[in-house]
Amino acid sequence: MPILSIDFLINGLASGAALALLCLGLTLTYMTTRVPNFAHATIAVVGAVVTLLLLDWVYIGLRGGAVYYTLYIVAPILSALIAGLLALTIYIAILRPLSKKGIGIIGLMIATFALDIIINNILTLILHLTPSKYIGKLIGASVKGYGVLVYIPILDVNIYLSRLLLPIIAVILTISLHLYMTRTKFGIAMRASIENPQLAKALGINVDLVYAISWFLSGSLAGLAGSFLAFEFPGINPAIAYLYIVSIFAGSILGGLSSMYGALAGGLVVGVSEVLIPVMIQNIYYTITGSIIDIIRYQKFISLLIIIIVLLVAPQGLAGVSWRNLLARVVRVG
Amino acid sequence: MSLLTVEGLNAGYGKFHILFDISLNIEEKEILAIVGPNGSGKSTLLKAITGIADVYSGRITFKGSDITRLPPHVKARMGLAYLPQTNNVFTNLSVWENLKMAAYTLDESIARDRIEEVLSYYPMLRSRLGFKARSLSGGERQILALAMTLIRKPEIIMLDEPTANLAPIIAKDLLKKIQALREDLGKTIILVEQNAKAALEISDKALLLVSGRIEYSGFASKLLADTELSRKYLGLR
Amino acid sequence: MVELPIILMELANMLVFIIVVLALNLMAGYAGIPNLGMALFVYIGAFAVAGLSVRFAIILVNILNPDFIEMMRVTPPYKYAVGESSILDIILFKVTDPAVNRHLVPELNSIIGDSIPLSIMILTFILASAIALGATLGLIVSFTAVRLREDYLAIVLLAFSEMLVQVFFAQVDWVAGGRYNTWALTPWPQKLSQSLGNLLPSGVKPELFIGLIVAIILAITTLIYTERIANSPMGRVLRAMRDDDLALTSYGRDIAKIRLKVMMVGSSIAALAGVVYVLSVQPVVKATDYTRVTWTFIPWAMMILGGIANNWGVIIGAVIVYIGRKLIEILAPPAFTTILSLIGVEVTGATIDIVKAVTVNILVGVIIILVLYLKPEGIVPEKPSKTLPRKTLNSLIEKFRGSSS
Repeated sequence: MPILSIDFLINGLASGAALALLCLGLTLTYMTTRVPNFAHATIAVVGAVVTLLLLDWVYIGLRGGAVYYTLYIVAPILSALIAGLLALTIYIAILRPLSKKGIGIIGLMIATFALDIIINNILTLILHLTPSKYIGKLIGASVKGYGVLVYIPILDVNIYLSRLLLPIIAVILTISLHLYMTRTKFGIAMRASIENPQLAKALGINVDLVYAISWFLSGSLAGLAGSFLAFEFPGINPAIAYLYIVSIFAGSILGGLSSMYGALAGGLVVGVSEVLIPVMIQNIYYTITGSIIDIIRYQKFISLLIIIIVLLVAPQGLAGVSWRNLLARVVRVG
Repeated sequence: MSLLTVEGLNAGYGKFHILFDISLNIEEKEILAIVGPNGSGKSTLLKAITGIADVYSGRITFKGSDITRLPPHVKARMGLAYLPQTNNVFTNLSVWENLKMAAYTLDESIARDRIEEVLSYYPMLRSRLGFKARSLSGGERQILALAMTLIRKPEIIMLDEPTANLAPIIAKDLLKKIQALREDLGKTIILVEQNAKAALEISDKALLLVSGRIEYSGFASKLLADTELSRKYLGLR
Repeated sequence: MVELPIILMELANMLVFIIVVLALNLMAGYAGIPNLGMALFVYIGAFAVAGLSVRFAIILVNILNPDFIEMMRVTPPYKYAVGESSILDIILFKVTDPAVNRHLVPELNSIIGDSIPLSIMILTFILASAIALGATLGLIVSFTAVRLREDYLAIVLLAFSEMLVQVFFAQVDWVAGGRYNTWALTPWPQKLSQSLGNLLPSGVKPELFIGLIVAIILAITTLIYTERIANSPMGRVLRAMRDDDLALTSYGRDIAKIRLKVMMVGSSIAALAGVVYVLSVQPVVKATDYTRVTWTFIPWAMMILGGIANNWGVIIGAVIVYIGRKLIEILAPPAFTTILSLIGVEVTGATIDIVKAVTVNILVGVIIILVLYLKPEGIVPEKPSKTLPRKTLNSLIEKFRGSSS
């Protein structure tokens, strides 16, 4: 038994890519409006549910057909759009008015906590009451899903197409977001508003618009990540968001909650570790003792450990570490 | 007619009344230094003129029209630039991006020309265009802040302790550059300074504030020569 | 007609929520610690009555009757599940095995019930372990983020709660039953139950009655205790630290200590509430039942509605939310059956259960947001802090009035 197989690596990468996008969104709204959004994972599930409903609606037994493949483009875009609009609505209709009334950070946080539970329950209701055409029921585990498995001859593995696509899309998104933030006037204005809203306002930048856009972006990134989840799992239980939010916070805290690149790195590290570390431990245990321990269901513990370690050792996260000094020291020692 | 006049100004923050019955006027292309001990309300006076602090009573006129109650961004558009003491540049943005943000509301082609203009006025910045403002020295940062202000071609530039936290030589150089703004570009300048002597040396007029009230208003050179006032309040000689 | 036992049980359940909300108010309302991990502390109290005290009881019983565990190996129904396991194995791993636990707990209960000293020891152990576990967990959990901003503290508390309850306790079967139910001990002497049984109206179980009494005592004690803290010099320090970030930075170290202390106290109170809940309302303990929705979200709604940092306010909030929730649960099913059948959805028992829960959760969430928007200070706003206790102040005022007239 090898320590790691190629499909586990791809799974890890997909999980890391999804989490990177989610951490990026959470960090973005935290940097602009200073609210830790406890509803972020549920917004991702909104994306998943939109895709699931779409798949269930148009699926016509053509798994793998041309019509079906176009869904891999249409569904994520639609999910991202709807989740983005939802996040925007949350900000404009609830958080901004609350903040204008002078509600402090704890109050805003509790508002997102309440929104999380409201949206999650609405999703549960929708999934329960919508009869599924093909997969029995839309909530919880059902036997067959809508995902397409792709056979990769060189590696001799079958992989869900969505898992292959997700990391690629995450990379494309990261690059385009980077270009947007550094090359366009409005992108630069966003960074300016994040750093110094007073000065930005004085220079005529519409800071309110920047905040609104950050919520829309944050929501659509979450919706996109969630959409790919729906291709893999036939039935979705919205309650997974209650655990998943911990991983998102872990990645964001590791990233430092103060830099977009930190968030991407933090999410990637947490997502990959959650998949690979339990498998590695399992394999090492197997090679030593010859028996199997079932620890994969505890994988989410890694997130908690990461939160604890980061907060105790370097509460500023990756973004707070002075990489140049560290590198200089390493080079000097080397 | 004076470019900017302030008459009987009472101002502060909410319940905290800081300035009492302040009057001043400044003509075109003049430099006015506002000096005085710590906590005498120098910065508050600039903020009251800009519209950040609360004005309880009094009148501020700019080119003859009453601007007392106008919001800060309208005053900025009219040509009154205010340069705060700290956080006056975006440290995470490059020098070029900072200049671009300063020209945010201008048309693309005008913005390009204006940036080009300030870059040729402050060639030092051209060599730093790609650097993050964070990596600039204190003096360079103040020059960047000045450049950002100049992009919008203000008539009056109000500076709040630009030389605070700068080494003496650099501070002196910066004051020279501020003086040059009048000489080269014909700007009118109001300068709040902790370093009274250096500020008075480059100024035409001076205002000595003590506990929110005017103690002296007149020629800068006269205040410098007044041994009693300058010893008592400015710590000179 | 609703029967008396049901009313009494609902009353006990409401008291449990009142205790939880008072504990939450101490942490979040007075000290500004946004505890989003309340579920963990309530659960840990439930664990003290179930998984943990069963082990203590079996050891005690084995000391009194040295063959007790030995006999489990050969007597049905235990022998099928226990087999050749060692004594340590049985105590550590087998007592929570559903095949064992189901039979063992009633048997232990009857042994405990027969002996007054034994039941006192078990009761003491339950209370002491709940307090100790609550305080220790409160300390460990908040230690990571106690020096950081409140939002980090909230994230850490939520993360710990979700991970420990929904992953660790819910998945590791041997510790506390994991995916299976475990039964709680009832540490009451038989004699007490019997004599009570003759006095009580028919249908009311003595255990429920005793549980209710315990709930009342604990609720009153908690109220007096938190009121005293709130009006003490420490209460003023807590509020100052909650309202002023500057104080936090200039007295950083002391404030971390105070926060830890409040976390320990608040968490042990919440754990005691968990004990009362199990003893009076729900003797079957399963980690997955202790969700953040029931034990974190609903207490928060109660506190916000009633009025943060006002003990009487949060009690009123708890009563309103609790009764409102019950009313919805009673009224929603018939209403929804009608609506659902009108839109042509097939109505099953499972659907109705889900609709019921979903309605309650959504409404509670809406209440939180509406209160924050319309009346952030809640129904009963926070009292302004007085330098002197109210009683002294009132007597002083009386004195002055008396002397002037």
